[in-house]
Amino acid sequence: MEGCDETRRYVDAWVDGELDPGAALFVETHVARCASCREEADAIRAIKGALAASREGHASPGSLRSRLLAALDAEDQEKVAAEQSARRRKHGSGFVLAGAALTGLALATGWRGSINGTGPVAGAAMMPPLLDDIAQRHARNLPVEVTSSEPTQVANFFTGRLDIPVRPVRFRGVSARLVGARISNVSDSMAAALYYEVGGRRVTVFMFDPSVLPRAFDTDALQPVRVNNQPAYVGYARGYTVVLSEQAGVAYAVASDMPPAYTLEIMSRAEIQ
Amino acid sequence: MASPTDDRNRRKRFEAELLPHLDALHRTALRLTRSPSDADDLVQDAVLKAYRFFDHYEDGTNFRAWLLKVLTNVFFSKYRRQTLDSQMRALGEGDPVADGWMGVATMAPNREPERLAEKALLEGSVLKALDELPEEFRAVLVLADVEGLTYREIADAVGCPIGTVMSRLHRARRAVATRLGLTSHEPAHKEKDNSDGGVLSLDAFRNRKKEAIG
Repeated sequence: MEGCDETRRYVDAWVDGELDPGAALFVETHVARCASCREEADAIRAIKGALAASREGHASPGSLRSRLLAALDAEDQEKVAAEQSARRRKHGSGFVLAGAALTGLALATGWRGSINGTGPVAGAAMMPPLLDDIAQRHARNLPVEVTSSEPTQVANFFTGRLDIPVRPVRFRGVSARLVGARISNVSDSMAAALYYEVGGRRVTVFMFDPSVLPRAFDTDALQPVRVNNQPAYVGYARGYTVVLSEQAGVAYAVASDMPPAYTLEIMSRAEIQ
Repeated sequence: MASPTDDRNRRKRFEAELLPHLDALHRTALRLTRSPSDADDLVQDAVLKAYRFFDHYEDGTNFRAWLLKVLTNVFFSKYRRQTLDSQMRALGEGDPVADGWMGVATMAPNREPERLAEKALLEGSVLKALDELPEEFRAVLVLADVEGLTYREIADAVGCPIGTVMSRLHRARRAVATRLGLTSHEPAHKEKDNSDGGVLSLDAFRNRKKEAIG
């Protein structure tokens, strides 16, 4: 039928109410006479209706709200800290920069807890493999929420936001720099993600609740190793190396794009601040 | 420099504006990323970005549309899968989508046009068809039909001309309709679309109509 071509091209805009009166009249007149174009318009309305209806019954998870408010608090504090630091610099007193005069506690103290000989846990089937999840979050290089190379500032950022104490890691005997951090997730648990540059390469250290760790044993191929004479597990996902360990009730995952041997070497140099 | 009281008020105003739209942000993030944990991350990044740029938001305009624009921007810059080329090939900016791949017999049970509009489609199957669309098309369809943004707002959110929005919306809906067996006819404009890259122009249409009518 005459007018089908143009009607088909603009029938979406007509259904959406985006045509001006003259054009709308043309489409309307044609659709009234043409069954085929009417069918097209009806299909569009049916899709619109179903998609609009999908709004009902969707509620964002309750945890999202508190997570967002925490992130906004962090943003506010960052801003205040940045302004104070700018003032202080103006007055010439300056911070002592990271790396100087920081002594660490070697990781070699007591690794214990759920990472030792834990068997498979039921109920983890819905979650993506842990290593995959960690590797993906490392790879994506998301924006940081705290930009500081000062471990105490980064630690303060997380205070009260996570259920675990977050203490930045220092790498002994290798050029390493803390670049920033953000609140992240590992599996369905909130996590701290700390971004480092170690020997010029990106390394992400995740800290999270160790109850998540057993899931790695369900789905991921892990190789047990010892780092500083303590148990750790090495895995490989999406081309990234992930080393899992646990210390003093906190799970650590170190993700890097370097081979396992190198990553383990880095791990062995890690000290908690 | 802003005083602490100004900052507190700004924060309060932002929160008051933001919280009513959390569900909208989350469901859009979920449709865009198709992953619950990515959706949470995306909403968080978008909210922080919106907070930082809150001063750029113009009072009195549609705050929800503005938030969705920020979210869409963050999605395309940080979260999209790196397969744009293959996706665009799969659906084709200038190619009618999968038109007519269903046989007439398959579609026969669905061919009762007068009942279609009333028929409540199974939401699930529409959402599933939506999820299968390439990101550029999915974003436009979600913003239009789930969130109800205007063409102008969508163009602003995805950063392309209105003609491109129209073209993508048309193709996205055709793909969904075909997937669900909602339409039966042959595409009416296969070649013509290719001649102008598939980008539709409201102005051109209006002008032609004016000539025809007037």
